[in-house]
Amino acid sequence: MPYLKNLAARYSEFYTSSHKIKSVVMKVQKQSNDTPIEQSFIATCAMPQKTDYRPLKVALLDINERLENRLRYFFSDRCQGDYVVAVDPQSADICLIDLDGLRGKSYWAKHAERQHNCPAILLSLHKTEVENAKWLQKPLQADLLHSELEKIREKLHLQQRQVAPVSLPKPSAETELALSGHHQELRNKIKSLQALLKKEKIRRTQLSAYRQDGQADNPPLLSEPAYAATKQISVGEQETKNTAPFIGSTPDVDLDNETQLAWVQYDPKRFLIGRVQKAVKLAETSGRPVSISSSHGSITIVPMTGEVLVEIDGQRLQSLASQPVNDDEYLLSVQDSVCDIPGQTHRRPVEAFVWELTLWTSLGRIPVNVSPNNTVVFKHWPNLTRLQIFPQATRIAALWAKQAHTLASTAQALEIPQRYVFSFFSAAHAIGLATTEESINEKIATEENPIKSNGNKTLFQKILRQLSLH
Amino acid sequence: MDNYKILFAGPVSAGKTTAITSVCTTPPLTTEAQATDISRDSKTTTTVAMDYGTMQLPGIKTLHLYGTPGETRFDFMWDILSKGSTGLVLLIDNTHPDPFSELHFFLRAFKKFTKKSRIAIGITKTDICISPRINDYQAQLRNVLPNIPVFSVDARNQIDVALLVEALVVSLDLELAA
Ligand SMILES: Nc1nc2c(ncn2[C@@H]2O[C@H](COP(=O)(O)OP(=O)(O)O)[C@@H](O)[C@H]2O)c(=O)[nH]1
Ligand SMILES: [Mg+2]
Repeated sequence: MPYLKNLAARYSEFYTSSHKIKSVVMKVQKQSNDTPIEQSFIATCAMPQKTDYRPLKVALLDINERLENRLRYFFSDRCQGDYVVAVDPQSADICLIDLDGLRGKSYWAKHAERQHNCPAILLSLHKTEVENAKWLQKPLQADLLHSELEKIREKLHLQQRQVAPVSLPKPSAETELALSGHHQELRNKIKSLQALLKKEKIRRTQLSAYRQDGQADNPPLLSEPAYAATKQISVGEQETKNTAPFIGSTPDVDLDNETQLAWVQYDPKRFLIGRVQKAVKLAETSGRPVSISSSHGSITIVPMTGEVLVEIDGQRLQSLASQPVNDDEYLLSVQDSVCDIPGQTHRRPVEAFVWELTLWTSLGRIPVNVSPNNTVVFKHWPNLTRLQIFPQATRIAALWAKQAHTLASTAQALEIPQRYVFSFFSAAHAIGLATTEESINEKIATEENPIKSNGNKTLFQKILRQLSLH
Repeated sequence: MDNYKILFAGPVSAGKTTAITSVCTTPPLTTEAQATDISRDSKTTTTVAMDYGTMQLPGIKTLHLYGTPGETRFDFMWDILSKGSTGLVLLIDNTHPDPFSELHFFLRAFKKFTKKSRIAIGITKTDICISPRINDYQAQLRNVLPNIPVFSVDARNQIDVALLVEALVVSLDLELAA
């Protein structure tokens, strides 16, 4: 199928360009004392990419949860981030409407009436004649959708994709103060990276992995190969936007070195994910819905269905996930019933939600509450078709399923940057599928006094037990 | 290895023919014929000999995908097609009244692959019937097979099937490299 052909084309493109990249990498290495390159590398590592290029926003109207997840993946993977899900349908560039949905037809009627300048793609199982819009049959064919989106892009004349150079802001005393929360964290990260780069050692080992000639003979499969890091170093453009939301961009560290270890650790309790995990536990013990309310909207764990109702849209949630939380920012409360307002809330299985939120939080780091140097205990493969996947996920899972490895030895064995391993570990850990040896013993020690729940274990309780493993 | 022969097995109507059609690069070769009485309520045609298609993986690999007939009256084909196969994709229909017995039946029938754990399992039609869940299947396998990929798969969905095949192939790669 053309989809796979295209993928193949994408990879062969990579393999040819990888030679160019390799030479750039070598140059970077040679000029290791050259400050501008060092600086831009650091900026690329730690700061989001600023580009003139703007992905097109696609409003998903009456698209079910499952299809939405797939589309998100399709946009970021197949379309390489050229399209994103629109937060506000009013500001969308393109509308995608499922006519078979409950409100699909009325959305389309309204859209046809008002938003003439926003092209629409309509979906339905059965052939439907429509005017002024493109119709596609379900199940959706990736190729058809892609070519329709590309046609619209052409029409909208939004093809300029020039990357503006990223420069590192020079902090003054005031700006230093103004850099609160997230920015301060980034700043700290940059500082640590600068210290790290001075030593040069780590980057060299990292880079040398990509210079090995064997690389092209052993290409990864459908997941993206371990080239994100190399490309970041060279140009820091497109590739980061695919993987950065899940993998971050932290360089490899020596996990035996306490200072370096701290750079790649995060404390889930200090982030939204910590609140969510607390709410999940509370929902389990109380058997009732638990809401996390905040000024951004609410998140409700519903134990009866094993779902989460989320009022906060995906992009907002993604940025909230990586920001340290204040004590009073998110309040937990046990509910008597669930208020599910169609159109305002978003339903997701608990597992998929926790997995993704963890990826957004972890950004290539590991939780503080695991022993980083012990062997990984991998319970079983995650159900990857229903979770947000990212490059290298299948290779890491396959390795852990067959061989005992530590986090560091996993990255070495697969010849990939550690951050891929750390992200995968964090997500699998959050849904109870991975931990490290010592934390199992700790768990047994703390489980002496297990919470007694009424004998009749529901499916959800089983899931929750897994989710609260650590 | 440059070429892998991957076998798709599982009960009638699990989605083998559909799965191969979803991912293969060239139009697949199928051998559909009138189904016997047993499978007629669910669909009118069934694979009688085999399905065949190739899937091009980025880089150097071509995967040759073979679909077995689901009906046991054609089980002689299972052995024939197993010869020279590197790995097995087992599809189990979640709407079956007893999917676990189907699972164990097919694991026994394809011992050659299970012995070396060259297998990945796709649970189909989870959109129609949500239970058993993937974790329940993993629990069934815990004492039978080492850790293998078990995913929810809609055979009509390219990404689902491709991801399952990828999981199998990366596992095979590791094993063959060892
Ligand atoms: N709803 C649904 N239908 C599916 C799924 N997987 C396969 N099917 C359908 O199941 C039917 C039987 O599939 P087929 O490939 O002929 O099964 P085979 O006997 O294993 O070759 C086809 O109509 C498929 O479209 C799924 O996950 N969900
Ligand atoms: Mg068939």
